[in-house]
Amino acid sequence: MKTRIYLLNFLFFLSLLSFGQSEDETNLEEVTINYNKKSSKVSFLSSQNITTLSSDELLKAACCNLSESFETTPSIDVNFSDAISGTKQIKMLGLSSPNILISIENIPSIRGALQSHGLNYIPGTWIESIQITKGPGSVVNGFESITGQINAELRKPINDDKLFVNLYASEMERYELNTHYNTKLSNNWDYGLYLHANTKDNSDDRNNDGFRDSPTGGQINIYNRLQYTNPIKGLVSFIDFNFVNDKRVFGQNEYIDDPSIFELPSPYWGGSTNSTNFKGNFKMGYVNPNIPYQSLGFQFSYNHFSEGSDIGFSIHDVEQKSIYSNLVYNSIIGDTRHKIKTGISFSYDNYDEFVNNMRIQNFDLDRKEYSYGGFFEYNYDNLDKINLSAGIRYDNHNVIGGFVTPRLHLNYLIFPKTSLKISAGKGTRMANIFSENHKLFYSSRIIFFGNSPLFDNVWNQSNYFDLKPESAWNYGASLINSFRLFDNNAQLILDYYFTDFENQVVVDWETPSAILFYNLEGKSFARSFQAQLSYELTSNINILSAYKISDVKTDYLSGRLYKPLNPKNRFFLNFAYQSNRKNNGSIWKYDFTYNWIGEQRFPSTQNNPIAYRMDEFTPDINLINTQLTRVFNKSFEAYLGIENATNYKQMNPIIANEDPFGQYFDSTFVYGPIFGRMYYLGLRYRIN
Amino acid sequence: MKNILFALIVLSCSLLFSQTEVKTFFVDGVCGMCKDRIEKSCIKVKGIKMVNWNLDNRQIKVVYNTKKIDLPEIHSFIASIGHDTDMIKASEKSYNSLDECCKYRDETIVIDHKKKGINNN
Repeated sequence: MKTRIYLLNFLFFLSLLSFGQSEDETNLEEVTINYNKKSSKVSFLSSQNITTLSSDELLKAACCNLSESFETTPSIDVNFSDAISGTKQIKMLGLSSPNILISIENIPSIRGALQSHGLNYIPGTWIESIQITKGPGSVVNGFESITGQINAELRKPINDDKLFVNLYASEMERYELNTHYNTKLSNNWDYGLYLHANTKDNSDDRNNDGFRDSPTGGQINIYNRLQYTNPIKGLVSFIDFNFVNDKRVFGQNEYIDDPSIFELPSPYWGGSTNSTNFKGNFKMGYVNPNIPYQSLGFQFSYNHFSEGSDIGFSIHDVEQKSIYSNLVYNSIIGDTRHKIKTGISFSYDNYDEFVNNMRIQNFDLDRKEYSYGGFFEYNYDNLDKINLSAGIRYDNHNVIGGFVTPRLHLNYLIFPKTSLKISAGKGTRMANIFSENHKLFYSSRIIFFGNSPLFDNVWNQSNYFDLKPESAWNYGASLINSFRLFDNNAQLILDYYFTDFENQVVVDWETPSAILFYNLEGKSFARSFQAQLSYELTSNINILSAYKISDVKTDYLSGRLYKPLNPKNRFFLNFAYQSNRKNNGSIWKYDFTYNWIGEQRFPSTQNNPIAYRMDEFTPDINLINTQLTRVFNKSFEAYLGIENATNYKQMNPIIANEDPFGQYFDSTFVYGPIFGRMYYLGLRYRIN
Repeated sequence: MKNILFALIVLSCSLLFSQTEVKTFFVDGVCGMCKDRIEKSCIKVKGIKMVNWNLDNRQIKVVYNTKKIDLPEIHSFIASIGHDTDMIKASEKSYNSLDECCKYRDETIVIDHKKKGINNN
């Protein structure tokens, strides 16, 4: 038993040291001993503002994949991108997911063309934990993060269950199967095979708009992990292969996806998306067993993604081949109060992209993007009040050129239970406008590229390759205060973050029947304030509440406007109950999540015929999710849940739904659920 | 390219020019406060690169630069803050400066901590 714990500690330490951004939390563990371990925890002493979601937190909402993992996390907003594709988008600090660096085990993963549906390719049960960093984050994982970083750690063959089976079924006729199989091959080698399959058959149209509320289709997802661990030599290594195929069919109720009638124009609006992703990773970490502050980490990843979409009159085909590699060396200067991380990284993306929009516009966007760079991060921890980390990286990019990315994080312990975190940093990235704004194809909008000087009311037609790389500064402060309230633990967190774009590809939805892409002239910023209070009512009941205010504005052609379909105000409340564990291992768990989402601005529809105009703002909406879990014993548990218990339905999410091939057709005006109330249930079975 | 070279040079320099010694020995103490005191005081000593004191077996692991400090000096430093080592016993004066709960020579305090430890588990 002892050796196992030692081994686990060792692995934990190793993964912290060798694979990048996570802070050294070994000291922290001692400070935050609670009676019941919190499933969602904000780091108190680390310089960065990191919230860690454990697998227990992810079980609170039977999340099926990464995009649905944030239902109980107020820092992340989740919403549908359009009324047809069923795709969920996430936002942090008021900015959409392309501004977040999303990595899987510290390899930047949901990027480029994967922005469209990539979050759906990480099944929830494979996720061991998620780290959410607000603010720019470490320089180790690259220059792309603008508003924050999300890292998902997957299950490791060495400590995951020998066998795990999860079955899920919902009223939407969505069925999911997740299995994990892990086995020890020898003293040093462990193997894991993780399988995911889902299918969705329901083609209900509960809001009676003539369109299926969500697509039908399915996914097969296979993950192969080979893990090498040698504590004596201080080595750990992973060799991973992942294959995903995902197909979705969507459209009008009468639409049939049949290749035999492919050549004929279908009388009904509809289409399909077929995606395939193959990924191979090699990771290796070395920690000097005698001198654990010295370590070396290397990772190499190859990714091949291809996606073909036929959507109404439009076609979007994209193929992306990517290579990513980095080498990180960890050590100290003088003593362990002064830590350094330094290394090099390389990234290569080859895009082969074709767009045919509304049968009148063709874009061939074959392009190569590659960059290489070096980084250095210094961390100072005086073991008392100050924890500071300062990072800088320099990269050479074939399109952007050479550029510097500085980032600074500071944690100051004002009182023993109160800490203040301050951060500032820069992010730079290449936009992938079609994958990031995939919902535009679910409308009849015509694509325009603009060039300056736009603001003289002269529209200079330009092209895709005139769009500049995006770059922004992000500043933030966070005050964390733990205290006792009526003899129980409570924690108050106040966050304020400001993102200021230097360059941005402005996506302008303000002209009906058109979508405009142009370089920012003027200002674009996002301000976000969040107050979060968590309270341990009893040792069995935890309450988490949050209020968010965001202010996201951009200078569009038509003036400075609030970003459309982005709520200014949101209130969140989560109530979690867990009974004491009985001798036979049985537990009851109950979760209740309430969200109030304030009004959101619709893009302008003023120039539409009166019948096709929307209000200026959406109504505010109230959403409730709830779930009951019964753990019968160590190996078996069942859960039953209701999503959207108030049965909220947006009745008219599609403009001109009766004329889908007309110029006014638009399904991007989605602000709430379309399907209404949904029941689901599931089982989990495991053998340790 | 220059930057990559620079990074490599930094890396190899720090790997090559270290006269690093690792030693593990016994240091008496009794609680988390002792651990805090031992580790936080030692790390501030010139030449000591890393310290880790284990409360369960009361062993300290010290990584230090042999050019800047030697082992007897480390022992005498630890004794000077009030903790006995397997080489040097702390003076009465420095032992007395410890907080009440850290008086590891007092049987009752040691037993007290052990009881608490059991209760916490």
